[in-house]
Amino acid sequence: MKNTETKARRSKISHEFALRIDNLEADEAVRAIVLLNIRGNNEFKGKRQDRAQRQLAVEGMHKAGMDALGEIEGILKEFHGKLLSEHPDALGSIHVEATADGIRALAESDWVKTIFEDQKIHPRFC
Amino acid sequence: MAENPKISPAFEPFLADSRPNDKRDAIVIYKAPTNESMNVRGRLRELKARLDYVKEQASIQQPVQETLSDNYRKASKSIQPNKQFEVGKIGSSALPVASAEVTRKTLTALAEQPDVVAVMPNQRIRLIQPKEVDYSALIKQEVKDGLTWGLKMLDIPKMWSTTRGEDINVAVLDTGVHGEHSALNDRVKDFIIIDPLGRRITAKPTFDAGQHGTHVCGTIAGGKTPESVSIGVAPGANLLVAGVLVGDATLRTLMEGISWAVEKGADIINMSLGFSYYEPLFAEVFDILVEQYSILPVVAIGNENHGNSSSPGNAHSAFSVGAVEKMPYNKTKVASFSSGASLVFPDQDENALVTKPDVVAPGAQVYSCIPPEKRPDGTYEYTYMDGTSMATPHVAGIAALLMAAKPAAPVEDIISALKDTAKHPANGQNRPDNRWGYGLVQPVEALKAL
Repeated sequence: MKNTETKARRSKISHEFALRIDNLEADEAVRAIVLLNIRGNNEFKGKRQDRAQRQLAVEGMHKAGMDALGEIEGILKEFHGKLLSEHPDALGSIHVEATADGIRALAESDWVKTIFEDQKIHPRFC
Repeated sequence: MAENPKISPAFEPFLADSRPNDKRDAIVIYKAPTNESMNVRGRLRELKARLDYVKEQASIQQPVQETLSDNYRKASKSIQPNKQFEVGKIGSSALPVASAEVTRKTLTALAEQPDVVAVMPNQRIRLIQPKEVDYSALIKQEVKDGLTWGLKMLDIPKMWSTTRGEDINVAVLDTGVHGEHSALNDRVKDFIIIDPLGRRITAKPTFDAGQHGTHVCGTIAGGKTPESVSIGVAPGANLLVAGVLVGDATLRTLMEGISWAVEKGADIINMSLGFSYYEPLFAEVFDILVEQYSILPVVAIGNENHGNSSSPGNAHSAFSVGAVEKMPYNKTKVASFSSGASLVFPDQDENALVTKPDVVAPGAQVYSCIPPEKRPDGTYEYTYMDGTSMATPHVAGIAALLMAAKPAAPVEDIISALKDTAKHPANGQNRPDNRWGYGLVQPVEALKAL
């Protein structure tokens, strides 16, 4: 399975992350953010939102994300991974822990838009 | 000049000026067999494995070092019979380096040993201290003007006759905020800490794990200093602050912070932060913010100098900000540290060329508030900072002014207005480029364009 880049994988996982998971041991797990391939409430698309509209837009994303969770959990279970979030957030993302094969399998799912490694972040001052 | 190329040129003053018996400490680098029991390019993360490797390497190097020492002793004895010269260990001999005492003549004898790769004089090392900048003239000018040089350069007081950013929510994802600072009087409307496990922790009073977050907040929505210097671009805007850069922060912490900001009604999200490695797909997150929620994310491009850029600011859909610094005669130039580069994706139809930054703004010698800091000569509540981190909140503040002035303007139009009206030294030709992007933001012109 290593180094077999399908088109779906290539476009859903960055080159750097793909290289990093290719170097993982078979049973080594990595933490990642899965951005689900969902769309929220299109009613507010492109419009500045007041508080109530924002809440409806957030709820729309949550609801759409919940539909994807079953399949994501199934894939994770098959590859000895686990879900680290209880539900998708306002961006439709969930936090997971999975092996390299688990990440590759997730990337093949139509429910998945993108997967990022849970990498370190830092401030930008000199 | 030393004839043997193994002798460092740094020995030249010693060789020229020393007397025959004068000694000098030296560092010797020697050839040692490679430890092939372990692939050093592989994983050395396990401490035990690393220690075992170091011990094994040291045991391989020890006989080489002993032979070298014997040979040097013999060679130097023939030159200076009354003195003893040896090669000594450095640390546990994990590295093929050793110490030695040399004179002008024994130095040559040492360098002639076949296992010796190089001989350098031992010398003092020192910390590279940050360059001390004299801010006194700038402070004087800013007090005289009643505002920071950045606000003056951007003509911000002209914008204040229309709006000060009232009712616009600017989320700041940073180290936290010292919300009780007098310059942030009542501006922080919500505060949360996201811990490294992604948990939301309510904390009262607000706090800053460093100074960065408070400084950024001051530039966005700060009021006046005790000397009546205005520091904030949009002093009427609301701040929603999430401390995501607290402890061992990762992308998960940031995603949780973004999600919190969305739920709290943010109109703009300021991200003066960067990732460890390149992640172009973060563009998807920016797309969701703009398209699904009409939120403007403003991101620092990074401080890695011209020819570099970093994530998330270099994602194609990021609205990224570089830094300019103040020059004499009311001029600016792009700060040397400010990142800028183009990324090429020949196999893509869309976004095959990504040029960053998008715009630039004041990001050097930026005066803003910090949590009270005790120094030997008193307590300081304001300081100057440099970085694209400081340029980003200028643009976030300007966006708040534009959004307040034009409540119906879509986020895409605000981005376009800021890019289109930005001032580039090439007067609109050949832009964007990797230094100025589209140019220095011009808020008054952007407002006219909306």
